[in-house]
Formats: sequence, C-alpha cells, structure tokens
Amino acid sequence: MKQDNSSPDLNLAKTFSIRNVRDLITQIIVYAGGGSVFIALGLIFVYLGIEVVPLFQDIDLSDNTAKFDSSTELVHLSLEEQNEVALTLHKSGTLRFIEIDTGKIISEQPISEQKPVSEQQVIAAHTLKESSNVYVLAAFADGTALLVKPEYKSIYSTNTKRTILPSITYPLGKDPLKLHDLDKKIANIAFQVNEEQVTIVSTSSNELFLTKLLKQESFYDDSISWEKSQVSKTIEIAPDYVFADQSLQNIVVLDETGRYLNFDKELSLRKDGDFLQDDKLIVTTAQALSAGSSLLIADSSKKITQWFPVRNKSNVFEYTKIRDFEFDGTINTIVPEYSRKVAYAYGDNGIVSVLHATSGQVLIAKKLAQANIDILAISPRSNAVLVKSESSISLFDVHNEHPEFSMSSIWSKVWYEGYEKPEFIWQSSSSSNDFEPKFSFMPLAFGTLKAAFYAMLFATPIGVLAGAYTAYFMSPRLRKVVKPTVEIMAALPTVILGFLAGLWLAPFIESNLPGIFTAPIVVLVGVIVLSFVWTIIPKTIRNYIPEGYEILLLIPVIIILIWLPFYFSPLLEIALFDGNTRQWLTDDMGIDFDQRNSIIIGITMGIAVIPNIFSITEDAVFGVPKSLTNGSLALGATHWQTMTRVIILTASPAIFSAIMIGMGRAIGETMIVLMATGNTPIMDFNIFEGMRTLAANIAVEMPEAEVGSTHFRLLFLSAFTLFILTFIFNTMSEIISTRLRNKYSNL
Amino acid sequence: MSDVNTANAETQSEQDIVIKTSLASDKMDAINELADETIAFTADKLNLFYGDSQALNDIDIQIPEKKVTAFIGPSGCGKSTLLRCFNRMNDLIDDVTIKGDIKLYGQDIYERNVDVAALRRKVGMVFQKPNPFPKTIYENVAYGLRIQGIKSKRVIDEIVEKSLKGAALWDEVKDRLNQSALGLSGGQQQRLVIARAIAIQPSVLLLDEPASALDPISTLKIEELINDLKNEFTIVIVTHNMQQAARVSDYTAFMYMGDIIEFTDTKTIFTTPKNQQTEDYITGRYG
Repeated sequence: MKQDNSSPDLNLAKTFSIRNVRDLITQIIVYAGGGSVFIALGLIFVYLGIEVVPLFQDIDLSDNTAKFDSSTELVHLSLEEQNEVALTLHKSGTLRFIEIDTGKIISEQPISEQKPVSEQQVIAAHTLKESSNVYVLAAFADGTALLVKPEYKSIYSTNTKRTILPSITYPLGKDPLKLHDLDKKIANIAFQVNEEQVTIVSTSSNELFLTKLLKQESFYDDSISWEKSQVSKTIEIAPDYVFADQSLQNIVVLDETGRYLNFDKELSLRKDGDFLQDDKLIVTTAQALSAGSSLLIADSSKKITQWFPVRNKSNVFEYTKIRDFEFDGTINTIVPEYSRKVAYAYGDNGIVSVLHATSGQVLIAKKLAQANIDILAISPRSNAVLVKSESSISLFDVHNEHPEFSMSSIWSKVWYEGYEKPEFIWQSSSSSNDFEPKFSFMPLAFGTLKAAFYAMLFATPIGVLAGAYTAYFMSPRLRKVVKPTVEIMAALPTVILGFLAGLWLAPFIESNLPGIFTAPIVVLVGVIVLSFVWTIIPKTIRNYIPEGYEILLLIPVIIILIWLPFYFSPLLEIALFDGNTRQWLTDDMGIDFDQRNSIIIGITMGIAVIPNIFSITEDAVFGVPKSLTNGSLALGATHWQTMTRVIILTASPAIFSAIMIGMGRAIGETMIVLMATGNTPIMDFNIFEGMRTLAANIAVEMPEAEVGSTHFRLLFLSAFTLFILTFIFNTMSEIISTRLRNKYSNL
Repeated sequence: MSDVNTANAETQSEQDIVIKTSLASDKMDAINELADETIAFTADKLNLFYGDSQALNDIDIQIPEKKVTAFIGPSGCGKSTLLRCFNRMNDLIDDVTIKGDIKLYGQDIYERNVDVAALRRKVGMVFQKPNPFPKTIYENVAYGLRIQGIKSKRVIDEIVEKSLKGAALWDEVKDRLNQSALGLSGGQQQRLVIARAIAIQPSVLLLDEPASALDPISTLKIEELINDLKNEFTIVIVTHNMQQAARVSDYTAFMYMGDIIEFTDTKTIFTTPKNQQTEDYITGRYG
C-alpha cells in the first residue's frame, strides 16, 4: 500500500489540560455524592440492625467458672446485684456471706441472736423481692418465723477497688415472730411485703393462718412498731403449697392431687377446684411467678401449666388454665425470676429449663450440673444464677435480656395476666412497678394503616381529580398559578397542620357532627346541579367567562355549600339527634366517640398528602401526548370520553405512583397523627375513634424508653417495620408503575 | 431561473397582485374541472388567525366527493392548518380565530349549534405520527364505536374485522387482536390508525402527512391503501412528498404562504402548471 504523506496528525493520546482535570474532578464529586447517599442509607439500616439484633439473640447460659464448696444442706441461697457475694442460709440456721470468686467466707452468724442454737433449725424459707430489696422469711420448728433482709453496701477504697460489705437486718425486729402455737408445726409459708404491712400466710396440716403486721410509726420519735393481727381457718385439705399474690386478693392453697382452695384477703373461700383434671397425675411442684398472680403447676406428666384468675361468665375471678409447657423430664423445682415472668425449672437430671410464661416459650434447656441440683438462685438483675449441686455452688452467667420477645408475641394475640382472653395490646409502661409491659405491634400497624386509609380516602379523589382537571381542562394561564400554589402546600409544616387539627378542627367537628356528614353530600350534589345549570345558561352570558376559567365561579359556590351544612348543623342536631349527636352516637348507636378521631386524621393528613398526589397526577396527565388526545377527539370523542378512556389510561402508571407515594407519606407521617389522634393504641376501624401509628409511637415513647431495654429495641424494630412498610409500598408502586409504563408509554 | 429572480425582484404588492390574478383564473379552472364531481366540502373566504398572525388568507376551495385531494406546498404554508379546519381540530388550539365558512354537503360546520363530536365522526382524521391508544389492537379499532355507545360484541367484532381488512392490516394482526397496539411496527400502527378512523364510517378522511414518518415500504402500503379507500371515502391528504401527491391524488392544491396558488387535477398541475410558483415548487426550486 502506498504511504500517504499528507495523512493528518493523529495524536489521540490523553494530554494534561485544565479541561480534563475539571472533567475528572466533576466526575469524582458526582460519584462521591451518589455513593454517599447509598452509604448513608446503608448506615441507617446497619444502625437499626445493631439495635434490633439483640432481640433475636437466643438466651445464653454459660459457666462463669467461679465455684465454691458448700457441703451442708441449704434452705436459702441468694446473691446480690453485682453477683459477687452469695448468701446461704443453712438448715442449721447459720447465715453465711461468701465471696463467689474465691469462696471466702466474709461473715457468718446465726440467724437469730435470741434463740438458742438448738432451736434455730429452719424448716422452711420463702424469698421475696419487693422494689429493690430481697427478703427471706425463715420458719422455725417451734411455730415462729423471722424476717431477715440482707443488705449490701459498696465501699470504694483509695485504689478505687470496690468492696461489698454485707450485713443482715431485721425489718420486723430481731425477735422471732410467733405464728403458730407450739404444737402446730409450720408446713408452708408465704408472705408479701409493702410499705405499710407485712402479710404472712402459713399452713399447718389442715389449718390456714393469715398474719398481718401493720406498721406503726410513733409520733414522738421515729421508732417503728408492728401491730400484729391474725386470722386462722380450718380447711378441708392438707395443703402442700401456699401462695399469696401481691395485692392479697388471692390466697391459694393446694395439695399434691392438684386440688386447690382460693381465699380472699379475709380468708373467706372464693372458689375451689382442681389444677389437675386427671386423677392419676400428681403435682410435682408449684410456684408463683413474680407478682404472685400466675401459678405454675408442674405435674407428673412432665408438664408445667400456667394459671391465673380470669373473670368468668358470672363475673367471678376464677383460676383458669392459660397455657402449658412440655419438658423431657419431670420438673420438681421451679424458681421464678424476681421481676420478669421468667422461671427456671429443673428436675433431678441436672438440666435446667428457662421459660417465659407470657410468650409461652421454653427459651433454653441446658445441663448445668452432673448430678441432682439442690438449689438454684437467680441474681436480682437476672444476669446470673447460682447452682448448688454435689456440695459445690457454681455461678453461671445468663444472657437473657429480652425473654418476652418473639415474632409471635408481637404479631399474634397474647394472653396477659388479668385479661379475659388473648389480645393484641401495646402498653409499654405503667405507674405500677411490677407491671408487665405488653408489646404487640398489631395495634400500631393497624393504626398506621387506618390513618393512612382515611387520609387516602379523603386525598385520593381530590388529588387525582384536581390534578386531572388542572392538566386537561383548566386554562393554561390559570394552571400556571394553581399548580405552584398547590405544590407549595406540600411545604406546609405538618406540625402546624397537626396543631390546627388537634386544637381547632377536632372540637369544631365534635360540635358540628351533622354538618361534617352532610357537607360532602351537599357539596357534591350542589356542584353537579350548578354545573348543569351552567350548561343551560345562554351562551351570551357564559361568554363573559373565558374558557377554562369557569372553575373560579365554583369557589364561592363551594364555600357557600360547605358553610350551609355547618350553619344548619345545630338545627339538624336538635331535630334528629336530640341536640347532642355525640351522645346519640354513644348511647343510641353504641359507637364509641373520641374527639380526636379518624375524621380529623382523614382531613388533616389528607390535606398534607393532596399536594403530592396532585402534583404527580397533574404532571402525568399533562404529559399524555397531544397526539393521543387529538386522536381520540378526531374520532368524535367528547373531552370527557377522551379524559376517561384515553388520558387516564395512559397516565395510569404515574397516577398509581402518585397514590402510592401519597400512601407512603401517610404511613410515615408523624407530627399530624401525633397531635391529632389521641394516640390510643386500639384496634378498631370505627371512624369516630383514634389510633396510634408506628411513627407516632416512636415519637411518643423513644424519650422515655430505657436504652438497651426490650422496649427500646422494640421501638427500633417498629422503626424498621415502618421502613419496611414504606419500602414495600414504594417498591410495589415502582414495580407496578414500571410495568404499566412499559405497557402504555412507548408512544 | 431568471423568471424567479425577476419575480423576487418585484415589490411585494406587485407580487400579490400577480398571485391574486392568477388565483382567480386558476380557481375558474378548478371549478371547471370539478364540474362533474359531487362536492363534499366547500370553503368560502376562509381566514384563519393564530393570535394576530394570519395563517390562511381568503381560502376558497371545493373538495370533491370520493376523490383524493392533495394539499402540497412548502413547510408553514398552511396546508395542515387548512386540513384541520375541516374537522375543527383547530378549535383545540388556543387563540385561533376563524372567519368565513366551510360547508359539508351544504351545512356550515362552524355554525353555533354544530356538535363538534358529531362532525368529527363524519370527518375522520389520521395524523402524521401514528398515535394508537395504549390498548389492544381490537380495542383501538373498537374505540370509536364504544364512545358512540355501541355495546354489541357481534357488531363491534364485525366492524373491527371489516375495518382492519379495509386498512389492509387484517392478515397481519388477526392472530393477535388482543395484544397491545404498541407492539406493531410504525407502518402497521399507521394502518391501524386508519382502520380506527374508518371503523366509525366517516364520509371524509383527512390524512395529515400520513406517511412522512414511515419507511418506503410502509409508505407504499399506505399509498396503495389510499387508492383502495377512495372508492368509499372522500380523502384529503396533506403531503410534503410531491411524488406521493402525484401518485395517489386526483386533485392537487398547491399552497404558499396561506394562499391556494393553484388547484386543479393532479395530472395538469404536475405536467402543465399554470402558475410559475407552482412550477418552481414542483420542479424542486424551493420548498
């Protein structure tokens, strides 16, 4: 081939120039911006995940390796909050504080200084935690009992090392309390402590004793004395177990066959029955859960059944079987945790099962000892257990922060103590200390969807129709004003909307209920009638209004049509609803009425959502190719036919997106629902009642949730749920509108 | 060439006079030519303004029935505007003022009590770009019937088939009537749009550059179709393509700057145009 000398200078190598550098920098900035959005989104997920994951972690029981010897028989074992010092009460009556790590005996004393050593034999002991104190009631063979309370004082020496100084106090004084006569040996004992009184329930063969000690404070000095009173009753059974709940509403005795008697606080019989329906079964052990109202009955069929009083048809509280737990071996000891509905159950094979009563789960079953377990003690903070087996006591660490959580406990009905049936309840806090929090997401999810539903019911027709009208029928000059005006409404702070809704709209609607229900009908009918009148007005008059501006005439008309029903609302109320619609609804119709209800939310949140729906719909309808509109009109279609059959169809993907985006906004909206709903987490579709939404719930409760608690993590989980919910809605809308777009838009 | 230069050198008013005089004579010719024809449309002193600017000046034209009449002329000469006057599509454009009148078989279509939708049912239109609705092929053709309130499936089936056959599309789509019309090729879409237009049995079909967005083979098919359709319909076609006008039309009007410069039978206008401008345009001197 002949070489062409005059070939052009083809230097294509990259050269350094300002232009290239700028290009590069811009590229980097754009990539960094885009990337950081993704990273930020990812980090939100990571953070939510970090807070939520511990909920799903399984309980863990692990050997701490701390271990010490204890060869004598114990009637009581407990440990203090730091899990450093153990208290043992020996059958001989010796109280001993032991450093768990080293096994060193810190102090040792006889339980009673008054009694001779030979009479200090403890025959029964009952442990109770009230507020942050642990009490031990020891019963002696001579019918007396003594209440002791271990106290632990932390001392920080100069090298900042903490030393725990244990001591024993006697809340009822050092004198043993005479419960029974000498000949009536104490068989079982239970007690409750509160600020004013100590109540002891004890049994002796077939006699039941209720001893009350009322606190008396002297007016002269601060000395305290206890006024004792006692009632006793002969009962038909020889009980093996006795229980008293915290409020002393229920005192229960039962024997080995499962037969029980339920007394009230005056010792009058309320109800009797049998915890075991099958006569062949016997009760292997029974225990009350914390707060005392639930009883766990273990029987020889390797089951534990939970019972608590439920109001029956004749309005009497009756112990009812709630749920049962099955185990591999017979359970002969149940140890309840001090404040949660968790219990440790074990038989004679060294396997300890941990159950959470309310959620109905056995959380773990693990072999903690090679031989029979003599006694097990749970730390007040529930983060450790001491297990005595084969004359040594070992410490186990427990990681069981969220036993009440399970997917089923937040999404399905749970039967809580004191309720008549399983229910969906969200109640995270209460004034009472021994309250069991109830975490069901259902009322919140329901409330979220209910709020969104009513808001969409209001916003969708108005938003879509207004958008379609503005894009297709309105004169272009008017459109240029209307569209940005409506769009600016989206920037209205929702706190203002919520504020107006809660403080002005809610009371207004409450006092004008007939008005609010007649207004939509009057407006609709009125507008239709007036539109018809408009068409029969002579054209000469109509021509005064330029085409596309007719809508402006409607404004005063709509204002009057809205005003009319409200003006006549009081008259209507007197004529039809005895002058008080609210009362009429509640009394005659049996419909509950909240002032801050779904109507308020529908209107207010609707107003917040309308601009979003309007704007996207307007764009979509306006974006329908003119060729399609003309094609339809050229076939002899009217504007209305063109609108309904071609334009709406073509714009449908975007209109669908608009509705979905509105829905997403309504679901995530916080401020309006927070301020205008009353925030009652109920599951009722009634338009006259409020709701609590997931978003509002987070806003309400996050400040008061203890960091790291189940409540705290559940709020994160609900945030996560909300995220997923909006994510699902947005993804769904995206997928559907993409499909619709593929179907309709390659024009 | 020199003639054009001289014409351009003349003052505007002089040129107007020349055109007007030539117009008068041309019109006479056209009327003579059309003497044997039944007249569908008659436009009389039609003036159209977009705001202040006049787009059509005193148009007088008669459209013969069941013949193909073509409007040719350079871009912006007003031929599409004139076409849109026949089914009042200009009403949809803001700020349009129309003076003068157009009669369809003697009835003034711009009279106040005229139902525009009814007029458009009689005067169908096909646009430059195929504009099938985002519906199935079947529903596209059935659309015009449905908006008239025809519900009988049997009637609609029949008309859909007949129209698709009439638009020479039936064989290509009969197996996929229920698929989206958007899946058709451009040429097929344009024939579908024609089928849609003829389904409502109009008496006039207005074709606004129906083949300009199509490939040569599709164009050929459309042209063949126009040839078939003129037995049944009065057809008015706007085209840029003079060969196309020559091939398909019976009568041709040459428009320039909002005026009809020459209107006569197609053979005459392409072989012996009376007007210098017509000749210049046809021979490709401008446009």
